[in-house]
Amino acid sequence: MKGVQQHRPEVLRALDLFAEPGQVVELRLLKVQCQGQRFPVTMSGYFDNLKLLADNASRYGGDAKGVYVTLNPVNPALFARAANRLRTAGKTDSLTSDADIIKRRWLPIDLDPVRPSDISSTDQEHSLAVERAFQIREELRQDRWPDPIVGDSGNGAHLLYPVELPTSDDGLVKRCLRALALRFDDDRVKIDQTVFNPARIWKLYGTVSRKGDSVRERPHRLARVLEVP
Amino acid sequence: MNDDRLTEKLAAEVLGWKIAPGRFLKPDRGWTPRWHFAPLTKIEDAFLLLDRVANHYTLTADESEGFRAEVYVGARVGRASGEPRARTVTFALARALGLEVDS
Repeated sequence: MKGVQQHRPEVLRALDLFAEPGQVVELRLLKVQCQGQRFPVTMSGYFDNLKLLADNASRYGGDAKGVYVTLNPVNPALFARAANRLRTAGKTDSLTSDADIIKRRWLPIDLDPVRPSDISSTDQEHSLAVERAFQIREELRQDRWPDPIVGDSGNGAHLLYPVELPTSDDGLVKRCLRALALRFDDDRVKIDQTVFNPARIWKLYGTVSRKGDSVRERPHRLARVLEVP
Repeated sequence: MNDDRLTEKLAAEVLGWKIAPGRFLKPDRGWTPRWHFAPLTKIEDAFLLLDRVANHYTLTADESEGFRAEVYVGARVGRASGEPRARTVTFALARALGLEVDS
């Protein structure tokens, strides 16, 4: 079946929210099926030109399982690893590590519908996760949290809360995710508690999430920004 | 006052936004990335300020004198001229508010 396509304007809109002009961002494409390669590869590059980042995401993203970016600001020196271009990242090539992050700018909340691994969600599962995201936003508003960016991850939903924290946060983000999971998890939708590390990569909105094959009940979908404060 | 400081001052005094690292915080728990609000370079942001605080303003452009802005806030008037237009409008507004700006 013909799949959903990437949407470059949405990619640029998302990048404009996350990265200030001139900020270095790592673009990482997972499980890219390249011609002439027997096994899928990871591609990675560092960009201070967000239009070039969007171009590269568009050019290679269609062959990738997922297209991701670093959320938090990266040490600008990493730009020299692959400057405004993508390279195939071999086993010895470095990717962004926690030590390469300058500070934490986001508290990321990733809501996944409960389902077997490596398949896309059904429309019903997907809707449940998106509804849960809006429910969490409303409840946290009552607790005087700021408004988050609300995103559709393609299979579930995202909330991105602005923070200003050092990279070494003494486990604050990790504990926060655990507390939110205790409060909002149920047997249908769960908060991913593993996304606490500062170098965490995040689905690039405007690109397609491709878990498993796209079938009618479990289609591939576009990740996108749903609401901006 | 440099451009960043003037932008912060106008965001705070005219729009009531608070200043946080990398962001402006709006009164209703909303926020905007700091780089999104640029009244010295984005004409729509300059007009956002004008519409919020100016009692009256006049913008004129002709071949001999170029672009000119005259802004009234209460009893004060602020004037500026030249290009780019966003900068001119914002400077006139800042002067009408009694802020010192570089010419």
